[in-house]
Amino acid sequence: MNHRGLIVCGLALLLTVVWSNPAFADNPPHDGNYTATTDSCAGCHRTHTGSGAGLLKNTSSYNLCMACHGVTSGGANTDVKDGIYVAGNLPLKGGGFITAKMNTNLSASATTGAVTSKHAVNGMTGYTPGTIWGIGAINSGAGTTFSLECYSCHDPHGKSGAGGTATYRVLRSVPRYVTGASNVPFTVTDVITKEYTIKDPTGRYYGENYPATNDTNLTDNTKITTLTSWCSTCHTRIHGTGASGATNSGDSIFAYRHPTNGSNITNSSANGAPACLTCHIAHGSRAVMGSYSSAVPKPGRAEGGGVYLDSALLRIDNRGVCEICHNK
Amino acid sequence: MTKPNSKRGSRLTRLIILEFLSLVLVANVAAWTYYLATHKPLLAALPVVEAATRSVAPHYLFSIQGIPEPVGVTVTPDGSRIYVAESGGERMIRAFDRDGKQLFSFAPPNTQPLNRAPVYLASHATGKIYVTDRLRHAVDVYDAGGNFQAAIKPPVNDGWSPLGIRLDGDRLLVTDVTQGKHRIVQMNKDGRLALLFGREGNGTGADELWFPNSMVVDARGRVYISDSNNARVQILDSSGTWLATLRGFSLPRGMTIDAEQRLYIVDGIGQIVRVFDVAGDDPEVLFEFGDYGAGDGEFNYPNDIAVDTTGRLYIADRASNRIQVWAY
Repeated sequence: MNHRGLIVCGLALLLTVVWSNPAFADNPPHDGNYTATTDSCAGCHRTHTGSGAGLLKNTSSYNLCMACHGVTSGGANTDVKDGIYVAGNLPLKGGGFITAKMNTNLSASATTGAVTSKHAVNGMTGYTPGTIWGIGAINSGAGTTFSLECYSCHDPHGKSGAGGTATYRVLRSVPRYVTGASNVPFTVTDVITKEYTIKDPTGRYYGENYPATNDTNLTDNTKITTLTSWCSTCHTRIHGTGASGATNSGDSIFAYRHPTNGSNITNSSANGAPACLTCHIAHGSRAVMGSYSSAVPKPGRAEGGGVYLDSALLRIDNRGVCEICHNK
Repeated sequence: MTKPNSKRGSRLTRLIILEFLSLVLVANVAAWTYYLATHKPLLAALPVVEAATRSVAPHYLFSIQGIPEPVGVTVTPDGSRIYVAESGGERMIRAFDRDGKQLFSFAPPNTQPLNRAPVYLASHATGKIYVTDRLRHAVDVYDAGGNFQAAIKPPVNDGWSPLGIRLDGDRLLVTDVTQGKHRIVQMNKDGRLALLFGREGNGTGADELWFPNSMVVDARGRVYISDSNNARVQILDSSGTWLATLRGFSLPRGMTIDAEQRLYIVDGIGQIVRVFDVAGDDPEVLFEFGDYGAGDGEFNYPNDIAVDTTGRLYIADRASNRIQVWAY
């Protein structure tokens, strides 16, 4: 084959790779590849006789999702109840809703245990609607009550990424049915490679997707910073930038706030600003809180109100996330 | 002149009516006594009478309540014992008698609920029970009393993530959902493992499978596979060559075939059981039963089904935490 032939073949291969873009495509039914005459809608929806919101055939979207993503993982490797990626039994990045396999005490390995905090979803045993802390304009209270569904954050139809691309997490630009917020829609740009599980072989969650003192593998700030923008579509007033720790926002509850814009986080000292996911995970954590940490009340509630034991979706026991950077 | 005869006749008539009423009264008392003692209708305890035609749907009998999220069910051929795998609670395998009374429960030795996930089961003529475990990536074998015997693993590990399971005589069929290799494998009595059918795919090709959950073999040796995420059932001949496809499902999961060669397919999202006649050359639609709901005979994300030789059906009604019992 002459040089021209090689070049043509090379270009053809390159175009094939670029156009097919398999890294961004996810698996059915979340790939968004519905044809003009698709059969898929009727799998879950009823146009005029739906039992549940969103024209769902059945009332509980949680049970619908758990048909594939539950403990038995009958239709996916992502067992979100246990926080496990079943192929390899590796911890999911978001943790778990019932249990989680996490190394929260920075020991040699991860252990599985019941979660101590979670973004509870409607349909779970004992569920009561939670509060979106910090949603809304300045001085609009601690937050508003909201009934969270799986589809509040995830779009099961896919193609929810920038420019309508398919993303493996299928995150919405604004959680669905969230109202009364001063939130700004934010479309998450997906990562090139699917990253369902944490990388640390000992199961430590800190350092995932951001560079920290003990993690030399991760240097991509963009991912975690953009996700801060996404979290802030709901938790608007929690988000702080620049000198927000030294400047009063004017809000009676969220007055001084740790910066969360993810700037300069390559610097592991106190000069950097972490992102939301630097310290927290999305689904549920099994971190354990001690005397001081478990006495921290929810926003807007009086100090000294009692023991809460809620780990606030933190990645490390107690306030280990503080120590990682501040090293006091 | 006719009066004495007439008197005798009317006395006889009264006697017959009185005897009939007495019988009705006795039957009523017996039925109520049985119902108050067992909370089940007496008819459920009577011998099953074959349906006049094969196209008549079964009727709901009763439910075995209080099983946390049951996902798999099997019944011994004589119908005397039912085994259920639960995905909630302690994640045990529970054994029941024909009346739904729990006999005992068991789990893999040296495991905790956090690290086991029993899913589907199969019962052998010898009384042994085979159980797939999604988290432990194992097929566990127990004797009829629930005593652990062994864990089946392939001699060469090129992936082993068993999900569905079926015994066809001494041949063990398993749906292996190892990432990248969704397929049907068979293990003969000598322990050798061989590929029967399939590769991972979104259903474009006949041999593409995506989380196959169950398979069953008819009297002719044809194999039916619930290709769950591709919303279809694939039919193979006994050598593993594709023959035909059944469609019209939202999420086909557990399947079984009764002595009349009726194929039962649980549709986990459709909330229904679809029944086909597979006695002939081509499957023919017979009927369907069930609907979405939490009442008697209504399904709430059903996942599996089993049948005994009398035609009694056991359906794992996952989100309603029960096993439904149906019969003809």
